[in-house]
Amino acid sequence: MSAPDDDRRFSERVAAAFAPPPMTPDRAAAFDRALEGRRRRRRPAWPMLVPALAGAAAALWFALRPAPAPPPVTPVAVAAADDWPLDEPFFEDDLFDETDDAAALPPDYLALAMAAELEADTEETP
Amino acid sequence: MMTQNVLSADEVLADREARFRAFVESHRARAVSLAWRLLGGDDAAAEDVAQQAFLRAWRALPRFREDAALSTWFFRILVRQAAAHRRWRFGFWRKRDALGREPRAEASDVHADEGLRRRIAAALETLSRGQREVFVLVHLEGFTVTEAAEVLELAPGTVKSHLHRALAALRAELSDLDPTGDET
Repeated sequence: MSAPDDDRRFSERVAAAFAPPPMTPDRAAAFDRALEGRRRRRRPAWPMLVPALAGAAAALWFALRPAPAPPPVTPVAVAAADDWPLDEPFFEDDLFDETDDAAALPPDYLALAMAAELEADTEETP
Repeated sequence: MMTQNVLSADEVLADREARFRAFVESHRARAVSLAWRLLGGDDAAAEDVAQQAFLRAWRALPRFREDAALSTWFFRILVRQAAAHRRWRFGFWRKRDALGREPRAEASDVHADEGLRRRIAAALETLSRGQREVFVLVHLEGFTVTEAAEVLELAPGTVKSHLHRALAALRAELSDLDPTGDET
C-alpha cells in the first residue's frame, strides 16, 4: 500500500517530466493575437446578415403568397348541335314492333327466306 | 434630479473587453498547460483547444458576474473541448492509418526528456477518461479535490476514487518514477 507522501512524490516527478514548454512573453503575445483574430472573425457583421435576411424574406414570401388561380374551365362543345340518340326516352317497343315479325328477325332474314323459297320452288318443279 | 447610472452600449462593450483581457491574462498559462497535459503533449492542439474555450468564455462573459464562477465554468468547457478534440483526433488518425500514411510527430521536441514524456503520455492514455482528467487536474495542475469535482461535475468521493485508481495504474506503468523503487 502506498503512503500519501509516496503518491505526492510520484505525482511531482510525473508533473516535472510531463510539463508543457513555458509560456514566454512571445508565446503569450502570439496566443493573444491568434485569439483576437479568431474572436473578430466570429463577430457577426451586418453585411453577413444581408444574404441571410434576403433568404428568409424569400422563403417567407413563398410560404405566404396566395395560391395560384386554377386554369379557366372552358366547356368542350361535343356535337352540341347534333341530336343525341339517347337524349329522348325510348322504349323497347320503339326499337321494334312485336306485331312485326320482320322487325324481330335478323336483317338477313329476308335473303335467307328468299333463298329458301327459291330452293323449295326448284324442288317442286320437276 | 436623477443621475444617469446606466452604462452606455460602448461602456458595456469596453467593460466586457477589459474583463475578458484580464481573464485571458490570468488564465492563459494554466489553460494551455491543462489542455497540453490532457492532450498528451500536443502543443498546437493545446493552444487551439484553449483558444476555443476562451472564445466561448467571451460569449458567456455577460452571464457571469463573478470571475470565480466563470473560472470554474471555463475549465469545465476546456476539459470538454479537450475530450472532443481527443475523439476527433482518434477518428482522424484511425482513418489516416487505414490509408497507410505516415503518422506525424505530435509534440515539439523542446522537452528535455522526450522519451520519458512520451512514456507518461502513453501511460495516461491507458487510463479511463475520468481517471485521466482527475489525475491531470489534481496531481499535475494543482486543483483541489473540491475544485476538480466542481469542474468535472462529479462528487468529491468519485474524484478521490478516480485519483486512487489512476495513481495505482500509473505507478504500475511508470515504476521507474515510483519513489518506493528508489528506496529498495
